[in-house]
Amino acid sequence: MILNKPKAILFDLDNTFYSYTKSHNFALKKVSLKLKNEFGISEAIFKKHYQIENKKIKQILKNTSSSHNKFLYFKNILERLNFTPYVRMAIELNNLYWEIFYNEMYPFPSVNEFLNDIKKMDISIGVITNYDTTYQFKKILCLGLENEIDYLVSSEEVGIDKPSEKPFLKMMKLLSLKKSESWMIGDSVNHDLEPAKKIMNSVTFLFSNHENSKRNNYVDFVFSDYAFLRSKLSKFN
Amino acid sequence: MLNLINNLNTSFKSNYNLIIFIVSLIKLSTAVFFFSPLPEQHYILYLQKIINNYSIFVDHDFIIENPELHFPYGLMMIIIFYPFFILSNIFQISPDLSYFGTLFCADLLTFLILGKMVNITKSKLILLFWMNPIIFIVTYYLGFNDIIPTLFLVLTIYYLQIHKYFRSALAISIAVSCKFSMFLIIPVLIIYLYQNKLVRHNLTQFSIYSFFFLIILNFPQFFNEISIQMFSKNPNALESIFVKGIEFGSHTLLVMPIFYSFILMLIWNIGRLNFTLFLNISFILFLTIIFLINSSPGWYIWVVPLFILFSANFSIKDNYLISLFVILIFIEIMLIGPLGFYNISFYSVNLFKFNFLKQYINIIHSVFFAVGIILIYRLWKLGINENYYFKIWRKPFLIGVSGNSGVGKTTLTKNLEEVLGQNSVTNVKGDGYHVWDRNRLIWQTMTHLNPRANQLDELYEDVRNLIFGKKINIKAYDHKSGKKHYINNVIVKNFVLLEGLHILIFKKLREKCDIKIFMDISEKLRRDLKIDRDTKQRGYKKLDVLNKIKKRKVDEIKYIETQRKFSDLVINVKETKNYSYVKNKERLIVEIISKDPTYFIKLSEVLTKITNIGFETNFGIENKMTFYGHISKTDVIKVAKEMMSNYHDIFMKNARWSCGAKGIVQLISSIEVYQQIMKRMN
Repeated sequence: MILNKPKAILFDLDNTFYSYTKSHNFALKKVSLKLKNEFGISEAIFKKHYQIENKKIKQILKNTSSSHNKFLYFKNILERLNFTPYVRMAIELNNLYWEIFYNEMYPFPSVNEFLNDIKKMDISIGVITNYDTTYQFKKILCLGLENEIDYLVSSEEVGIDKPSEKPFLKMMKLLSLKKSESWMIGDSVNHDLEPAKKIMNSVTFLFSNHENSKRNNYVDFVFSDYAFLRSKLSKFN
Repeated sequence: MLNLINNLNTSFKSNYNLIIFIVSLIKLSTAVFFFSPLPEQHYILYLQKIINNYSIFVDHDFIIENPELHFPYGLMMIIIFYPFFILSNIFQISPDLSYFGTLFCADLLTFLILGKMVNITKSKLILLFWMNPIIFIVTYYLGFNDIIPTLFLVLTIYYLQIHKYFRSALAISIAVSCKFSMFLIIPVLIIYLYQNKLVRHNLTQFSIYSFFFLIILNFPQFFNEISIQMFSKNPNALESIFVKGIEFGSHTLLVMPIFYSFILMLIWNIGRLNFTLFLNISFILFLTIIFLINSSPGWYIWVVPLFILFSANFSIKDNYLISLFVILIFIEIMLIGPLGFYNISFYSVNLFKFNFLKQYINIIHSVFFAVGIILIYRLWKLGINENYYFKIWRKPFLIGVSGNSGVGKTTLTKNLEEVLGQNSVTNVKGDGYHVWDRNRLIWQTMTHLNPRANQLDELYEDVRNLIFGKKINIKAYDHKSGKKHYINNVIVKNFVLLEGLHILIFKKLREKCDIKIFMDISEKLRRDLKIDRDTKQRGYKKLDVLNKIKKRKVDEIKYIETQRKFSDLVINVKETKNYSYVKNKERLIVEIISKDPTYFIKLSEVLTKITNIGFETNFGIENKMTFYGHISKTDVIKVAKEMMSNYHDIFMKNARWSCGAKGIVQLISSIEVYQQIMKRMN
């Protein structure tokens, strides 16, 4: 496949710049430890309730940013535990979760260098992500990437999660992008690459540790190291 | 009396304004219908004469015509009466009305300002001040104008409370210019500003302003012959204050100056003062003066607002004592007080018919005097000795900070100093007590961590002497040159910040500390910070620093780590997982282990209310609290104020709180220090 120099490179955020799974698991573990140490609620019970609530909330709030809202999860878990009054505790759990989460975040190797390369070549950088805008901005800040990102569009502001076309259209408008002018980098074929291909006809890169992830019409490249993308980009220098 | 107050309290709960209005009417009508021809009638004549001439001094002829008249007040007193007297000229109203109109305004303003200052219910304030019989009789019945200087006295105190020193200086100067005896409060003001170390930096400003205003406002008077004559003619001002004395053998002892200077000395000896103590002192001082000399009834008015400010700080039980005192004053004014001597026929014939008392007057007065002295002594105990602030500062508070080299001991003490205020802190650093200078060869075999390499005995002696109140010469170590030198004549202040490698190692020194803090920091962070500090600030080479760190390992475990168990508070700062990548020092993790963690719960609540930081608490063998995330400076201030109810008595007005991990460490150590200080109240 012959690559042209893109006008913009678009990214997913969670699990693309950094390991969401790792941070999330660690933060959740700390929250459950807090409940265990301070109130004797066992980790197993917490985990059970979390899974149930996760399913339930996702079902009710389908495809909206609120469906990922950790605060709702904690609130509902406390309700299930008959932990009332729970106003303060819900805030405490949410704060603890996020502060631990931020402390655990660091970009994947070479992400910083790759973004620097892009900047140097006068290519715009956009982030299209599912979830609450404030938290996503804070994540960018904690990753130390605030000077690299030009635009961030969240599912909260358009009212619906990816793979809806809405966040993609808004990003196109922001960057005055036409079709076939961008690259899309993400960890999910369904949420990131497929809509990008369909709506913007982007060149798509799947970030995956499994080299033999299935390639289909929507996936142009699979990579596990940002050095690969740097080498692709260096050709336009 | 208190039951009465409480009953009345409930009965007129919602009709405050109506009551204020009715009392005002009674006051004014008393003034208009019953006033003349009372002793102070000539004040009005006098004022009328001056103001009709649009002057500030009375003309000479008037004095010659009325040699018995006197007006022992200053320039400002005349100026304040101007507006109403001019109005009375224009509208042809009785000058009596203008005189009392002015007094009424001063009365009302004092009432309103007091309402802003004290934390008592409105009904109680109305009862204590607006319906106060002393003010009512002295002002509206007897016609004394002392409510005017009293208004400015209250203003002075009010501006002092809200830290407006310029206005405060102006107000006291006006008060003195109204009535010269108000000068008696100025030494107390100066002692307060000097002894309250949190506001001491305003003393010069305040003194200069008041000096300036006093000169300006009193200048014309000193050069006017008639004014001086008038002043010296006053039968109760000069004589009774400064001249009247007790016959003592062949000498006459001047009572007032002796007692006044004695009380000033007592005030000075209290040491550190806060605002409440200042109020209590002023009240007791004025009360004593009034009791000791047969002063004019006008003086009693001064005491009323001070009494209200004083009593507002006490429980109902203590108020019995204070109420008793007020009743005593009241009886004194009505029956046997100075006005009795001054114009006894007036009371006895026209009003109260207590003529029969005349023959027992000396006995009654002596009994009152004795009871008064006892009550003043009790009030002193209540207002000063039992004041929490007095209790907590009976001796200096020693903060001991120990921990390994490069863990941030100095940062901690510096941060504490920034909130406690330089004027309140004496620093002693263990570094100065190394046995040898840096260039000695012995350091190649021995580390500074070894207690034998430090003159800990000497350090202990110095600390002991310092706390004892002696001036000492402490040793200090210059990290750049590696040489020791002396800091001479160090005196103890309210806090002693004692930091060093071995502060907690021996019992003797450890037990001197009121709080024992052990600083710790994760190894990685310590290396980073130590290399940074030693190469940049202290001029070492990086390789030397690394070698030193390696060499010290054994001694660290042997001599430093062992101190951890003796501490009241362990502060441990750790890096986050992404630290090496993001290098964000503001998001460091702070872990504290406290032996007295009662504040953990409240802190959790306050933190959740004010900030977004995450935290965990753990109670058990170790009481641990861990903080995650960034806290802003403004949030630290808010949390500090909410956590410590007497915040303003301990921390500087413009205390420099930090943000991030530094801020959390500063906050926690401040709370712990505060907690220990407050224990001294019991």
